[in-house]
Order: sequence, then C-alpha cells, then structure tokens
Amino acid sequence: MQIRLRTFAQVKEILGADRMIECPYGSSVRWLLNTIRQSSAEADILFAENGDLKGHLIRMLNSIRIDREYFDNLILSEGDELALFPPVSGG
Amino acid sequence: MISVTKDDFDVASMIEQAKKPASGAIVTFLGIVRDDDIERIELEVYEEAALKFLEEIKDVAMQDYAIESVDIVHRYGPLNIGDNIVLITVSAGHRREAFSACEFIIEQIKEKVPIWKKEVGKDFERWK
Repeated sequence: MQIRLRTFAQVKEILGADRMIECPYGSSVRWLLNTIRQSSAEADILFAENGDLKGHLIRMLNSIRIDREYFDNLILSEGDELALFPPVSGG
Repeated sequence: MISVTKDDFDVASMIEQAKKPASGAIVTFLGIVRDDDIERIELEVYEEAALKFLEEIKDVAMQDYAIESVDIVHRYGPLNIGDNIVLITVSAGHRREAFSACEFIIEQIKEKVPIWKKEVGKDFERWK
C-alpha cells in the first residue's frame, strides 16, 4: 500500500519533498519511521540513538498529532498521510 | 472566514464584514513583516492541517469568550518588509472580551498552527 510522507521546513531540507512510500499491509508508524531513517544518510540526523524521532519534531497522521507511545500500535492504512515537521513559527 | 492564502487581504473590508448587529467592538490583530536586517521572509504552510487548527482555535474562542465572530486570514509564500502576514478580527458586544479573545487567538496560532518562517538576507537563510 502507499503512504504519503509530507515534510516541511528543515525536515523537508533533510528528507526531501513529499513522496509516496510503499508499505506492506499491517505496517505500523514505527515501521514507516524506520524506513524513513534508512532511506538516506542525511535522514539519521532526525533520529535519536534509540531510533525514536528527536523530541522536538512533530508527527501528524492525517493532520492529527501522534505521540511516540503510539508508534508501535498505530497501524497504517492505504492513503494515510504522515507529516513530519519542526516546531511551528507562524503568526 | 478562515483562510490561508498567498494573496494579500483587504483589512478595511474584513473589519467591515466583522460588524454584526450585536457588535459594540471590533478588535484586530495585524501581523506584518518586520525589518530584522533581512530582505524578505518565506512562509511555508501545511495547508490542510493549518485550516483544521485555525477552525479549532476559532471554535474554542467562540465557546470560551462572549464574542460575536472570529475571522482569520494567514498568508504564506514570499513576503517583503511591511507586507501583511496575518489578520485576526474579533467582533464582540464589549471591548474586553474582544481584546482577550484576539490575544488568545494569536497566541494559539503561534503555538499550534503548522506554518514556518524562513528569514532571507543578502547572504543567509535561516528558519525562525
């Protein structure tokens, strides 16, 4: 199945622009993040040593913020959209 | 009205539209590009999520403050010194509620709405 990765600001500069990622059915958010981490040498800078995303980064699944404790149990569905970005600075 | 747009907006028109029969006060917040020794800023937006958060902020303001209406327009893309960034108009029966709600809304926008600002100078670019 296809999951859309959305990237913004500094995260876009590191991971590149939005793209589709092929995931096996039943994949978790954790699986997707691991795939993203392994997608390029630059991507590693976004992750802590234990494999979690660095704490200041914000994750949204279909425009809903998700906390790290749900990474393992949250199963992705066809057409889902995962967004990764730094703290916001609008206004 | 809640919107994110590349286009400039008409401040006077938005204030006029905020007038309701029960309005006794309209408070506005207009954010503009400050000259911090830069040439311009570039605003990036996660549009779908930004609209969702702006609607939620409006809903909370309408619920928690005695106000008549909230309108928010936020720009993105390249903006020059002095350009409009964001306009909030809050209409209420009385000024205190309008001031309080408007301050709540801009603080919520700065904290929650997925918009990012890059400052661009002659020989640098930096995310804020």
